[in-house]
Amino acid sequence: MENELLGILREELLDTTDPIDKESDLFAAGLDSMGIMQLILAIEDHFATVIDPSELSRDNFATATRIAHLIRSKQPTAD
Amino acid sequence: MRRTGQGHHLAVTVLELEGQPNPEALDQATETLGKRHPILHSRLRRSLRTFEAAWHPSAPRPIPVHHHQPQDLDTLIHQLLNDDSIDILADGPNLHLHTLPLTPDRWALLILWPHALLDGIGIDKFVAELAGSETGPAHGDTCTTEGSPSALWKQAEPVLKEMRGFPNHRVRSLHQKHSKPTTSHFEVIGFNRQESDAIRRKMASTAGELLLLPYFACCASRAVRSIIASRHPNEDAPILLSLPVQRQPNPSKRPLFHNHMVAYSLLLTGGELKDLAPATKNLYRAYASFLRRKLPAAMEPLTKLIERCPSRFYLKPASLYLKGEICSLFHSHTGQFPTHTTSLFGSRLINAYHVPSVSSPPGIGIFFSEFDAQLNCTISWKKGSLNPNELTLLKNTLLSDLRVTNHQ
Repeated sequence: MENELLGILREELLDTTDPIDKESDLFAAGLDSMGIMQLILAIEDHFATVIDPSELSRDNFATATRIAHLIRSKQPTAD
Repeated sequence: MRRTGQGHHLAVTVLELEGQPNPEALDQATETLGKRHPILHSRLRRSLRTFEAAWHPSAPRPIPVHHHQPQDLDTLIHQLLNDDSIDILADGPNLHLHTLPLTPDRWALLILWPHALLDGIGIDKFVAELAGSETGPAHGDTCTTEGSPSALWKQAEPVLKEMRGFPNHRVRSLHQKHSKPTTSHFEVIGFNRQESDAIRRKMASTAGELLLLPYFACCASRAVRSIIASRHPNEDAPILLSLPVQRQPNPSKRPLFHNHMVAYSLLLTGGELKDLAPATKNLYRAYASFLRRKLPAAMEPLTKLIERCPSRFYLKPASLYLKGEICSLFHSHTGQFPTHTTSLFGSRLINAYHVPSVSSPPGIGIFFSEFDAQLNCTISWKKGSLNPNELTLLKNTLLSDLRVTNHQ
């Protein structure tokens, strides 16, 4: 999931060739308010997970790892 | 452009600094930048054959600097916005610098610039160059248009179809049909650190910490709607919001000149704007719907078509179609400004903001930016668009939404 998120961020949102990894600070890499709105839509499309505005915190969206953690926490468990 | 006054559509960027101006350093910087960017002494002219606009440079010259005696800052900004000192369609400089002593140990550097050449991104990069912290190659010195008009029209069709739905609503702005817009007016509201913190906290609890764009766009829209609803109490008073969106997502790749953005037109009904928290969600949903229907891909060719056409070709039909209106307000939040510059010519920067002038219609613009965690809001309007009571209502609605009830 983290790698898929990194692909979306690199190709669709940040348009950057700078190396970003799972722990890169996404806000420092240029993720802005408009990018966040596009990312929420991409998460709905790719992971079938709806993010509520109340979950839109800098903490939850600081890195690809944190975003993946948020998505996993909202997905139904297998059991 | 001449007929619609676009050549005179100016903005002032205000940089407040500690210490005193350093004329020698200023002269050196303005000479270097004037020679580096010939476009700052160029004239915009359309080809009679292709209609394409192109900049015709004259010999590179230093950027003019004007040193003023102490006077009221707002009075000088007002004078600069309303003088005809820049005309991009005529020979002469396209950017001026002005210095103004504010107190014995503070001064202001004012940059007067035309919207046809620069925007908030461009002026941020220009300030970085002025400060000497940016010396990369100059980007975007020429206008470029791609694609045949018929192909662009076809690609733009989905967004044109979307726009055809707008006349079903009675869209209004603050433009008054019987008043001739002349003078530009403005008011800058600077929020201190405590007030800015309170505004951010309210945003976080209302719309989430990160939906800055729809939140501030909603606050601005609701403020303008309060005036329209007071003028037309029996109408729904919808708002047609023109939301500027960067074409280039990577900030480092955005050009200094001609960083022209795509404008997404979102229509929000009176009901959708009734309360702030749902209004922010409604605006976000409208934007999401815009993206899901792939309308940005159609907006891009429409923007290219508009850039190619003389403005009277599209402004007049658009205005007729929407009964004299093009949108209800202009709005932007440029975020942190400047992004990297902390000092200029040996003086520490202590505040920075923009004062853009607006056209009428819509006659009103509400703009935000942030300096050192302190929010600045500029309300800009044309004479005749707002009377004093309406200005008070607009400010009260805005401050109430932002939760700054005791602003000093």
